[in-house]
Amino acid sequence: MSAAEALIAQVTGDSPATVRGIGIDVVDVERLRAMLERRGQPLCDRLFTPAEQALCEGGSPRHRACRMAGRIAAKEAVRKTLGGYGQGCGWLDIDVGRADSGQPVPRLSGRAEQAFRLASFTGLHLSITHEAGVAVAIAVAV
Amino acid sequence: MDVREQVVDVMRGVGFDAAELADDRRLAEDLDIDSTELVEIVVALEQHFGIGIDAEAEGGFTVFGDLVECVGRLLSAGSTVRG
Repeated sequence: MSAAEALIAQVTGDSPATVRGIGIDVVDVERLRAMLERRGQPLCDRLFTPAEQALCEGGSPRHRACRMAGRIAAKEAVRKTLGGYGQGCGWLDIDVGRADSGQPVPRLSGRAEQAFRLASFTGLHLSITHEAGVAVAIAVAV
Repeated sequence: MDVREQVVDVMRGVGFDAAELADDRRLAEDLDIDSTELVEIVVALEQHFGIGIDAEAEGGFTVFGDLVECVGRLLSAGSTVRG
């Protein structure tokens, strides 16, 4: 067995991870910042859970908007992994937390949790990045 | 000014032209409204009319006329009007 074959064997061995859903989204940070400035707290409360709002606190309005844009992108990416099961899934049904390592952690409730179960997913992986005024998130369901 | 005219006014404040706001215009396909912008529009309508639009109702908004109908219904119901 070659080294490459050994690696493949390791990945597909005892517990194969099958990708069952994928979602990606991009959010313009400045556009979101302007929306938040125009509509204030009521818009924040519709888009973010209290825990998310706490995580986005601090720093300049621009940095806050960056963190919020990342979360919006993440929520949309997660919603896309749910496909048709995610119909009617609300913004607050997906909470994007943060692990000690800094990695984003999706927590589902309500319709999102229901959709996750209906789709027979067992896990959800999420990654967020910021570059050139946009936030991009990708979600993978297994 | 009737409800429809006021909804058009609110939409103009968000950046739309009154001429493009026919009742049958589709929010996503014709007016290019994405999910985040739709939330801003909903909040703008809430603030203008002093009403509370249920978050679940957002998913049911397909055409511009749906927004007008929702606001009209909430204003008529009275009980869901804030303040």
